[in-house]
Amino acid sequence: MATREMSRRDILRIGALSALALTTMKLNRAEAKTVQGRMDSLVMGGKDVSPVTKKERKAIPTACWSCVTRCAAMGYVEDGRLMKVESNPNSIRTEGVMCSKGQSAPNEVYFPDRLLYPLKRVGPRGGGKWRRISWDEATDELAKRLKKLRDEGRPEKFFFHYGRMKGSSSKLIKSVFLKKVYGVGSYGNHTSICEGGKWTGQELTWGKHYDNWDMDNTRFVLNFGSNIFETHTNHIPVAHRLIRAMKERGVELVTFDVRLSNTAAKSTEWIPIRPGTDGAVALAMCHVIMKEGLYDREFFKFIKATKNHKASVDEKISSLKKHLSRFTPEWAEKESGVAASKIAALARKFAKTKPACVISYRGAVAHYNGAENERTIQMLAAITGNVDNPGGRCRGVGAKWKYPKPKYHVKARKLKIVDGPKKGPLHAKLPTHHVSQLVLRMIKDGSQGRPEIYLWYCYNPAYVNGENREYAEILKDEKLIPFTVTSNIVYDESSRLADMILPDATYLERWDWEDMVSPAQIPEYYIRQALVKPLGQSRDFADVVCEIANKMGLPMGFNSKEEFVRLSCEHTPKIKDLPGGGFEYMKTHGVWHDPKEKPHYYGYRKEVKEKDLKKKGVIFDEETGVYWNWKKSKAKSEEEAKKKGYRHTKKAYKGYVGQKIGDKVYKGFKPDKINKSGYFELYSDILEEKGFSPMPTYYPIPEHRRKAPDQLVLTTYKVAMHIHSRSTHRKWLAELFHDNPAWINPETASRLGIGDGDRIKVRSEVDEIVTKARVTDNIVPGIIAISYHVGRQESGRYASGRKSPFGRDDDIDLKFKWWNEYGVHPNWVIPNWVDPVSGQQRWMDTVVTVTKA
Amino acid sequence: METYREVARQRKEIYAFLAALFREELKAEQITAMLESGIIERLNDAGCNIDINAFLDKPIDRIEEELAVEFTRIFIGPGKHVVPYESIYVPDQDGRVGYYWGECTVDVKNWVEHYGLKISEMYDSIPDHVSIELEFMEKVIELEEISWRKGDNETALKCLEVERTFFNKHIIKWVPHFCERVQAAAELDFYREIAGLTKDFILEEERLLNEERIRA
Ligand code: SF4
Repeated sequence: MATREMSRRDILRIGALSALALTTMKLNRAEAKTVQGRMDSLVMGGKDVSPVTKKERKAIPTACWSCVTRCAAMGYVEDGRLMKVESNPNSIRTEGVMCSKGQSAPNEVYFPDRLLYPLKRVGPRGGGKWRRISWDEATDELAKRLKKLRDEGRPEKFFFHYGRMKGSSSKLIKSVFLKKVYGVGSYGNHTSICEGGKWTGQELTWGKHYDNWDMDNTRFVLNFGSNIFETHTNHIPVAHRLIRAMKERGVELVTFDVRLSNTAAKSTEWIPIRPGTDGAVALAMCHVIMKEGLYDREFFKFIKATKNHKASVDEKISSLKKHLSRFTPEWAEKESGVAASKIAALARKFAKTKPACVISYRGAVAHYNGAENERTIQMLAAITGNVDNPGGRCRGVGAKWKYPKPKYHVKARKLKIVDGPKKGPLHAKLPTHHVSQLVLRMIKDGSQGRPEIYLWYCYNPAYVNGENREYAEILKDEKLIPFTVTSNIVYDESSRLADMILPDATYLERWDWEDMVSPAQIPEYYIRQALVKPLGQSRDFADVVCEIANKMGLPMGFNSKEEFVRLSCEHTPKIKDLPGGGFEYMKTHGVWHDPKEKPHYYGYRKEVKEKDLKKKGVIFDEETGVYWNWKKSKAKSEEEAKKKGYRHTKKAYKGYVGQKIGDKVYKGFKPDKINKSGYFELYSDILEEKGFSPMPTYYPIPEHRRKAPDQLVLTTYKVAMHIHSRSTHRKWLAELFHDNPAWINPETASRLGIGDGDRIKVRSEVDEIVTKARVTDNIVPGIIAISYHVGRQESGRYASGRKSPFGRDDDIDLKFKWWNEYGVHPNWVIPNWVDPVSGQQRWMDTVVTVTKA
Repeated sequence: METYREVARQRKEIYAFLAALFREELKAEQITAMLESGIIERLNDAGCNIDINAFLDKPIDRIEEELAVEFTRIFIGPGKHVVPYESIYVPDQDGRVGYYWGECTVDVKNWVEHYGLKISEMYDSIPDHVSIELEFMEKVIELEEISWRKGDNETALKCLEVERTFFNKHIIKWVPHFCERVQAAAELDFYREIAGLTKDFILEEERLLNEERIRA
């Protein structure tokens, strides 16, 4: 059957005859057609059909919570059961894209080892014996214990520690209940075991933390240790934009990493680097850029690079040149192993490609020198003018919700265990995001007091910190902590050490409003709504908090998170006026952004209005050039504020108004958490005062300098299909990834007499593990890399092979589970220690001795 | 981009025309209109080979009947016929093929419904019928064409992306093969030649949507 090639002319001709036929033969009548309606939108998604019954499933807009990115999502429900979760196609953040973790959501609800009843321990703590109790019994007991502490004036003896709590959950539990109603101002978080050092580095330079990377407009991306294609705090929204930029616009991505991660593999170029030396490379790049005059002179107006804030642009440039003169590419090559010529070439390319974006994450910051590395990377962005500009490193913008605040006038009391010790080798001088990995150590130490009730939420302290053996022992010790409670969905390494377990609702069964940073630089408002009723007797912990508050006689003005979310929708400007009412609109659409809003760039360039400088309480600080409102600080009087000055008045940053530069006052780079000026500070008086270098520098990792030649550095990493320590119970993900052999370079392995698949012993100064070796070229010599998601002792059958108390057998896939290897957790051998600036946990610094087991 | 802009309208009309011919039998007045407006001649000009005399000799209701019988014999049966549904030709992920309501059927329905379109309530069969797939293309190209005219290139290009994806995922996988089977099964010129035209057009579409992309 011959095929005849058609030409474009044929198309025109056949098109014309088709048009004629359609009209004369009346083939084009709308009612005759099978496909009806009109394409009104090109948005794909938002609908789903059961492949079995062919019935359309109920689509409910919600938000993912598998990782902290919190993508807007769409849940599909059939006969009350959650069948599937996809992205919400109307979200400007995700643009309809979702990762494998997000899509595994149904597993989160229905995994057979899920905690479904309130439990109370029977016998010794950690003995593994439990009895089911009623919710009434559980909340009565908690309310009674909490009320007693509050009545006795020591609410701080209740210590609440969370792993992830965002949006409305955070506001309801932390800002409203704990701080305002109950009266406790100290609680544990987990930022320092994540990326706290990065935030401190940002607060020191441009003020408020969180950098968005403007992939839609960038032309070149330089990556220091972010595994952005597999995981990130704003993973899918940024990653899919970067992929698009690379595919459609040919944008190049250059990645520094000690390991060929999937990000490195998909980069234009992977540059292997020694652990903890990213800062040296970035410094040398800045050196080249300054020396060769490739810097953005204009941006220097907003930079502080000398002690004197009134320095001219030329003075700043020469001060920086002088400071950087010793950080040559040749010096950096010796530190990092990256060729000097490569460093210089990349520096030139980065400076000359406009706009370019430098990105960074834990590969650069989970180190002894983490905050300083981030400061250096910030400097690289600043001197090339790639700050808060289209295509550069921008200050994140997110939704600003208003939420109900009941009127209680209590002064919150604190237990001083959240920032680590005040002296000694574990002292961090600027822990702006606290030192959560040392909370249990502080409790053991006891010098700052100990909590009587320790309640953890979405947190697994005996697994996610270092030195797991010691932390489990602390948690188990009834003399150290008399009463332990957790709210959790899964029976994990820590819940087994609780005295009481409250079964939490999953994120698919609860309400929230959310506010995560938008990569479009336009805020997106979105909510999470319950897709299905909480399974068994599980309950959203925030709802439990409401009930406990009521039982203590401390009503908050709402009785559930759903109500809190509704009230927030009714109070938040713009949201409240949406068609049909804010809450109804958000329930129907899930997401909203202001279509008239323009992307936020160059906020620092705005001038402060004259009248804002004349407001009551606003004074000028000569030393820094900052206008600030002393009334918002802790100063008791104007006189005291003036005497102490902006920098030395407690919480003065809260009153920051603007920065005087020349004869104008700019909004500048507004500070947060510390009394920084409104400049982009490369010269930090704050660090100088704390005994550190005021200008970005390089601190070599002391343990790496001291290590014996045959010792290795242990580094850990995440993979695309797992969420920190929170997903091994999900069967789809566990099937994909459940074992974590240690990566080791062939050269290193052969030196140590290790072959692929050999069992090896990994010993650090604190503990020892036995695992398997995977000998691979995909890692630099002298290192081993072990992923930390797996190596579970609990978390149910998919994660560890162990059935949890009251686990069910009704999941058919339990029969088909084919794996019985669960990996080995590396954190056992990683010490809990700190970056001396920020308190960041030094995940990637541990020196280990590796031998054949 | 220019190429696409130029041919959008014609492509839309061709899809609509072919969809209509595969949708159902032609009625007497439609056949009359076809003959009167010289469409057969134009089809022949465009490379078909339809014997016009077969139409001229007979009364119109005879022609109607002959064409209807041919249509039924080819596409509906009874007996051996050429099934106009995709899932008969394209295997599922697990390799199963040759049955109704396969994975691709669900997928076609999803595509149609995802974009706010609807399958007519009058239609009582399965959604992966050749005419539905062609009509879906027509709908997307319609929006593309409107967008070009409005100067909304962004939407037009997005439409092309949708067309390309749907075409590659569904149409190209089976329609040419289906057309060959129709050509083999046909006894009258008309459906044999229309099937040939359809196949040539679909292969041209494949070039246009995939190869032109680079130049666009
Ligand atoms: S990136 Fe995070 S929030 Fe987004 S879908 Fe994946 S797991 Fe969920």
